[in-house]
Order: sequence, then structure tokens, then C-alpha cells
Amino acid sequence: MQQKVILAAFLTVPVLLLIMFLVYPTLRLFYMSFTDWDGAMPTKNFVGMDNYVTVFTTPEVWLSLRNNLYYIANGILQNIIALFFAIILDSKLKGKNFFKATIFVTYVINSAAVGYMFNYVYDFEKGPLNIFLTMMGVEPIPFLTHPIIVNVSIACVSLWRYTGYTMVLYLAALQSVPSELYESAMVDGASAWQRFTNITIPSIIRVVELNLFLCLSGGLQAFTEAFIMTKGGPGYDSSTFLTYIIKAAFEFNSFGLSAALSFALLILILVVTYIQRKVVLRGGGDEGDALYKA
Amino acid sequence: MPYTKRNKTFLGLISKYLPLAFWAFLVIYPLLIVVFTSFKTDEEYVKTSAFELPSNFLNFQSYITAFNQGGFTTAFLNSVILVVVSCAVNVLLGAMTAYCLSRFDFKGKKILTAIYILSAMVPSITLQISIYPILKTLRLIGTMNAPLLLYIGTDIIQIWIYLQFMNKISVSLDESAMIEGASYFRIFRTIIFPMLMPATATVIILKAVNVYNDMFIQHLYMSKPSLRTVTTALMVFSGDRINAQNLMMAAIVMVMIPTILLFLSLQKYIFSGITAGAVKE
Repeated sequence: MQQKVILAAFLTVPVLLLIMFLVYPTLRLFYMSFTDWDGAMPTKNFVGMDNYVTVFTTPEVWLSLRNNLYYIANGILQNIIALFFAIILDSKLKGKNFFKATIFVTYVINSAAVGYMFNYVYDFEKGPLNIFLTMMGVEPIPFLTHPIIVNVSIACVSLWRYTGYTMVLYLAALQSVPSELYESAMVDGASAWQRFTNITIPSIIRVVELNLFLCLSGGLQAFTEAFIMTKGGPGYDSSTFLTYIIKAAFEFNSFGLSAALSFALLILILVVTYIQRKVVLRGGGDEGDALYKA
Repeated sequence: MPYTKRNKTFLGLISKYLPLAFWAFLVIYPLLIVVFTSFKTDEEYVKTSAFELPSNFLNFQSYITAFNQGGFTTAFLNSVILVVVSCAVNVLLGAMTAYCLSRFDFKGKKILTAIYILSAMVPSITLQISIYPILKTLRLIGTMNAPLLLYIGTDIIQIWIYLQFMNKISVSLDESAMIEGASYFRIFRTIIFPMLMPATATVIILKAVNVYNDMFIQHLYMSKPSLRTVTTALMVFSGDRINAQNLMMAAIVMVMIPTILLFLSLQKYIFSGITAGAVKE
């Protein structure tokens, strides 16, 4: 009895909030995706799969999705760099706290501040990067106006911002690997590479999986940097799937289409996560557990 | 330690320090350029290159101008309100939810946990497509309550952090208090919540940084000038004066200093929060 009272007292508000701002909006998103609602009119018409057909036949949608690939590729690079630094910082090293803090600090800086800072860094005329290139005798690069380069430039900002975050996750995982594992492997004469592939990777496979999930789903959800730095422009050159969704709703007033796009994105994330789980865990999960037991 | 034993040579050290120093340079140098530029006068900004130092490091003119033109008094005040309220409510609700999930078995517990895990998959920005009309019906657009409700209701990282700490607190403490006749509420208030202090510190700092740095929710729901936050103030500011980068850089420095200081003084809590919030068990 007393238990029921405390559950009711403690859980009512959190559950209500959960239903109001997560469960209901998700279901409503699904429903909206079959209507032609413009976001303002009290009426909406049921249009069946029309919005989904539009999703697949709009070239800008595909262009935006292609741009997300730059962020995913960048995320993989970010994982490699972060794991590399984490391994270095896991050893005895003077000044490692300094490097850990410096590499991580970018994560705590305001997102708009980071975006505008790099707008200046990338500026065609006054930006430090192009001034440097000119000094080296290289032609200035249109970092934020070239249709391809603009995506690489913005993706690099997110690399700058999140490498430290990924590194901290890897570092925490590495520090929990028992050092006896390495010692006995060294006695057996295993090389550094063998130790890396046979001990390190299997032992931290869950964090590798987590980081790959963050990389893929984060890449598909790339938004803030592009929204602040270029608003997806020039034209749709740096548009991402999410900046397009937001544009569709709040600029074109096509809430129905926007909802269909959102649902497509959600399904894409679920599919990618499912495939990745299959691949990564088959690739070494069991082995890692076996090593722990040994 | 795993890779060090034989690498104590000079080359071994270089191969470690060189990449670290290179990345540290990539992090620090752009920030330094921002600081340099912020101390330049308008005339200096036009005439000098980004690599040249300002003639006077005590020239706070850009800061004063940026602070007034950007409306940063309102902006800092609003950001602080968002941070304080969402931290306080999140701590309370997060600890209460985690207490129930960790200590009791009840109908719907599995479903509740499953919803919490699944909701991490739904991109919060796309959810605004359907939340925006809901908040419009509730007449909450253009008020501080809209972002507050979203920061309290949709970001659930604090529940994972609390759950991890809670599961480490022995149940025997609860039981002996029960024998002495304490109610569940009393156990939570006098035993559990005080023991969760390190988790609470972590939650507060992580939340504060997230809320302070968040962009889209504040941009969408608080567009009125009187509701400007530091993030949206920067956005307005950039639209106004795209060519006076010395002012923009001063504004950026003002906005980023609070979280950098917070991080430098309380690193431990941020690092543990990052790890606890990411690994859900």
C-alpha cells in the first residue's frame, strides 16, 4: 500500500511529461505524415501516402541526405582519432590531464559561438585560414560557398567539437580493462598490434558500438552547425536532412511533408542501428566476453 | 599502461606528444584568434590580418559595444533562469524516477524503461514539428515555459546517471531504516537523496552546460527580444553586423567563458557525467 502511494507521488509528473512530450508527439508525427496540414489551419485532409511519395521524388531531399554522408564519414574519422588519443592518454604520460582537458574543452563551448567563430575562420577574405593559404602561395579556398567544400568545412567543425567527447568515452572504457590481460599477453610475446586487436578492441567493444551508433545516428541528425553557419545554403548546397525538415515545416508550412520526412529519418536511424548491432556484435562481442572470463 | 613498456625511447615519446600537441594547437589557436580579434578597434580590424596581435590588450571597447547592442544583460539573465530552473526540477524528478525504477517492482516498469530507451532514438529536433503545434494550442509559444517544459520533459540523461549511482547504494540501508519505522518518502529524503550528492553534482553541471549551449529550442520558442538567451543573442547579433567581426568575436568570448570556467574548475563531474550518461545499463 505504502509502495503504491510513493510510486504515484513520485512517478505521476515524470510519466505525464514523458507522455506529453515524447510519446504523444511521436504518434502525432506519424499521423501528421498522412495529412496535408500547413501548421496553422484548423482543418487537415487525409492524403494517404502522398507525402511519402514526395519524400522520395524531391531532389533536394536526396541532395540533403547525400550531404549527411559527409558527416558520417567525418564521424568515422572522429572515432579513429579519438581512439588513438585515448590509447595515448591511457599510458603514463606527463601532462596528460592538460591534453585531456584541452582536447575535450571544445565540447562545452556554446554551439552558436562555435558556429560563428568558424564562419570567421573560414571567411573568404579576412579569414585566418585563407590568409595562411595565401601566405603559403595557395589560392584562397571558398570554404563556405563551394557546393562540395562547404559540407566538408562544416563537418570539420563538428569534428573539432566532438572528438574530445568521443575520446573521453573511449578513455573511460580503456581504463576499465584489467592490466593483467596485457601483462600475460606480453609474457606470451604478443606484439602491440596483436594486443590491440585481441585484447583492447574486444574489451571495449560495447563502447565502440556505442560510439559507432552515435556516429551514424549523429551523422544522420547533423543540424546545429549547418543551421547556424549557412542555414543550409548557398541554395541547398549544405542542406542536411534535418535542416530540410525544419525548412519544410517552418518556412514552407508543409507540416505534413515535414512529418513524413521526420518519420523516414526515424526509420533510417532504427534500420542503421539494427544493422550495426548485428555486424559489430558478431564481429567480436562473444570473444570479448570469453577473454574476460579467462 | 598497455603499450608503454618498451616505448620509453625518445622516438616513442615524440610519437605520442606530437599528435597530442598538434590537436591541442588546433583547439587553442582558433580560440586565441577569437580573443585577439575581440581586442581590436574597428579600424584595426579592417587594417590588420587575423594573425596580428591587437595593439592594446586592454581595449574593451568591442566588449562594451557588443554587450549593449546584443542585449546581453537580458540574454544572460534568461539563460541563467533556464539553467537554474531546469537543473532544479531535473534533479528532483530524475532522482525520484530513478528511486522508483531501482527500488520497486511494479506493473509497467518494463514498458516505462523501454520507452525511456526508445525515446533516446527519436531525434529531438524532428519532434518539434509536432510539439510546436501542441505548445501553440497551450499558448506557450513565446514564453519561457515552453523551453523549460522541454528541457524538463524530453532530455532524460539524468535518469541514467541517477540509476547507475542508485544501483550502487546497498538496499540493506533501506531495509534497516524500514525496520526502524521510516516511510519510503523519509528513506528517500534522508538516506537516498543525500547519498546521491555526487550524482546530483554531475547532473547539475552536465545539464547546465547542455541548456546554456542549446540552440534550436531557444531559437524556436523564445524569439521575442525580451526572451533572448545568450545563444539567440549571438544569432541576432550575427545577422545585424556580419562585417564587424571584432564585435562578434567579443560577443563569442563573453558567451563561451562561463562554461569553459565551469568545466576547468569541475572537470571531474563533467567527465563522469559524460560516461554515465552515455553507457545505459
